Amino acid sequence: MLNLTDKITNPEAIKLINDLKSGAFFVPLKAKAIRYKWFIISGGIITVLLIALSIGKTIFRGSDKPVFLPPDIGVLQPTFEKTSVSDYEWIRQNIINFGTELPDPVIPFFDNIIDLESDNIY
Amino acid sequence: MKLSIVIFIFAIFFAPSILASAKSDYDFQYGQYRQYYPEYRLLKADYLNTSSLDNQQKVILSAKQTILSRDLAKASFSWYILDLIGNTKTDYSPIQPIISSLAASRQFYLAEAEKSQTVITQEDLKKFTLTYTKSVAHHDRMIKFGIIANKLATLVRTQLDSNIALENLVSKLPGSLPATVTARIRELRESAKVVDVKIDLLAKNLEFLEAEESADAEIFFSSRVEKMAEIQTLQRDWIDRLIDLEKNYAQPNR
Repeated sequence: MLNLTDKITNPEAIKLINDLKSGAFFVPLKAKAIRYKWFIISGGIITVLLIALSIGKTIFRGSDKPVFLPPDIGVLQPTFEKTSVSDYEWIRQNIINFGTELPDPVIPFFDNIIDLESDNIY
Repeated sequence: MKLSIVIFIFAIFFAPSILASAKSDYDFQYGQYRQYYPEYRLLKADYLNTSSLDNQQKVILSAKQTILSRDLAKASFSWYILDLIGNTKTDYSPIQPIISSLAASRQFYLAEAEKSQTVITQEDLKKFTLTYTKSVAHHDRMIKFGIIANKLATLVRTQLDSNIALENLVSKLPGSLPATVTARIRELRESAKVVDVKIDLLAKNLEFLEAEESADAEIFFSSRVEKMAEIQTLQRDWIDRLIDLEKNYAQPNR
């Protein structure tokens, strides 16, 4: 069996080995663990929850219903009807624009009796 | 001074006919009348309330200005209607007497506008208006007949254009035509004649020379609206059939 003390001559290392053997090395660690125990417990719980969520998500993905997509029928091309403008469209427009309301143009009002006697008030 | 007045009147009468269009001239002259007439009304009301010499002079001056603008506006309106008829480029004989009379009426309004400026006293104004009211009725009626004549000329123009279009289309069609197409062309020619007859009847019923006073009736315009709408519908139907013929036989591969 390998005797570490035979070969290790560094006094600091020897001290560390002795502390490990005697358990003196773990005393300050134990004190810190007791001091921060609630942080450690909380951290543990969060870690467990995250792991549980990850496992649950994986299970849920595995149970997704299959999605049925319609078959690809390609892009529909709009159909353009070939339109042609008539050479006589302007006549049709003239007829449409013809106003049948009369009088057109409207006759404005003119007072034919301009004098100083009559009392024609409009 | 006299020379400048003569130049001014000359400019008023002749400058618009050279520089402006009939419509813009009418808009301007009628705008002048609309400005002067209310002023005259106010001054006349003042004078009738307080018959002072000062008020009398003011209202006479205003009346002269109003008469001038009124008759120039009427002359411009007549010119505007004549211009509309002229733009149709038709030579439709039934409306020729109306065109001549309307042109004469325009000259009457211009002459009256010039004559109104000789008015000096209240008595002059009274005489002027008395004479004016006796003779103006005929000329005011000519404006009404002119408006109908313009509509008739427009309908006739459409008939002329439509007939030219039909002959043009026939020349484009191939030599050997199916019997149905020949029948449709014959039908279009006959339909055009029917519309011509309706327009002639509308012109004849104007009774321009026989019953000039009919223009004073309230139904003078309204009684003709329906007839014109009927002719318009027939013309629309006619041109639709022509265009259909063109699309199917004259330009099937266009």
